[in-house]
Amino acid sequence: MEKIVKRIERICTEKYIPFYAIFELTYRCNLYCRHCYAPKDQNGELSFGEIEPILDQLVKMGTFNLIFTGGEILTRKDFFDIAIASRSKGFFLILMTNGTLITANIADQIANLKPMGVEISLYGACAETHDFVTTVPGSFDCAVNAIRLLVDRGVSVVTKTVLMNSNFNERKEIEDLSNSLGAIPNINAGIIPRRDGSLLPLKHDLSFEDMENCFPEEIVSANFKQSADPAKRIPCKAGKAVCCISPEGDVSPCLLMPANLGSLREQTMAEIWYQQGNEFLNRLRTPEAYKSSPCANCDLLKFCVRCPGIAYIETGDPFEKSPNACHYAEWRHQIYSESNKA
Amino acid sequence: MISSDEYVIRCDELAWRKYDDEVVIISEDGSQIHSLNKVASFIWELSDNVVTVNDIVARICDRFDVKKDIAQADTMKFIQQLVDKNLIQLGKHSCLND
Repeated sequence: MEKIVKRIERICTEKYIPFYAIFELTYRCNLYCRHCYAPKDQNGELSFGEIEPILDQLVKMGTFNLIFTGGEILTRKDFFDIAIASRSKGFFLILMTNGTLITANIADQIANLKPMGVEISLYGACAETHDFVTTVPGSFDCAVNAIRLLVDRGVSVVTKTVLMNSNFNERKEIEDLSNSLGAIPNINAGIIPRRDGSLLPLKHDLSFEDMENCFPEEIVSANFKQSADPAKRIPCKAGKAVCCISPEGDVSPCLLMPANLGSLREQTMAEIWYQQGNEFLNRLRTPEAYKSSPCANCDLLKFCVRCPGIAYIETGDPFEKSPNACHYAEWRHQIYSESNKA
Repeated sequence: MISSDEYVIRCDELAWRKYDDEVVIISEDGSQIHSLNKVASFIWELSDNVVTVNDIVARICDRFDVKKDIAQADTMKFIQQLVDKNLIQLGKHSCLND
């Protein structure tokens, strides 16, 4: 099965078929997380009546996987109308939520959707830490309750944790908590700039010292197994097998690459995705473009886990050097050099 | 034993998409995936409970320029495989008669 999926992914990447569509249903949220990268502006969300034909377009184009995210998706009163319509059209759903609005009744409805998974944010192993990050008292208890309700109903739950300077020393406890609730922990470091370019979230990022205290050496060393070929180093599916749709219907190559390719209120998905003459999109889909990027000959290439989307947010160019990636690559290089001296 | 006047319908609870000439079918829980070649994908797309096995054979003959007896034998065999894998069902009545 894995062979077929990988083959389909490869076909989709080569032929620019959006196998995965990240659908931001809203930017509204009931939490105010300190590190949040999402914009807060509201310019008129797509209605359910506008969303349904878009779903049909995605079916025709070959999209199988829909990732619903936000903001907080459950702030939309018509969320289940959208989700049920999506399932009826054969999409596999992944729901990303903060969990605070999940009651037993909502959990029943989510379970009935039979989603591939639900990802719930978990920023601490205790209320004090989690609620500090979200700035909303009680959010931890609600999130934990949501995880329990969904796991009890047989839903696959992944807890998502971004490590930052306020929670990194609870990494092990967060992992244990997630496992004890029957969820799968997904814990990563690395705060990214806000999608409007603001660097404010970065003040919550880990220092090098925090990172060294936090991660066992084997995790660090695993990052060194990167190809030196820039075309392989950046196997990014953005603009190829991945697309993103904003709450207002703007299409971009990826959630972390908010380059507006066109509006679904004015054009169809196919018209936007296969438009001729869009220099940004053409360049993104050209393998040779990576070879001429400033990163191609960088000495730190093998220590670098680079996201073209973050590079775009930081510099306006997905091929430009990413200060965020350079920062982490230097850290890994430092660790590698020290461990080789010993 | 498949009867050639039976109607052919895709099973509910299956998601499928088409990539060029290839149809990919995934079960509702994502645990099973099937990939169909060009001819099989053609049959799959026709299986909408409006056509019979005979209709499908006729369309294959037209589309792929193949003799009827060969098309008949291959189609029956293929449809049986899809039935065995719970991907399609056969019925005596078309949905148009409801």
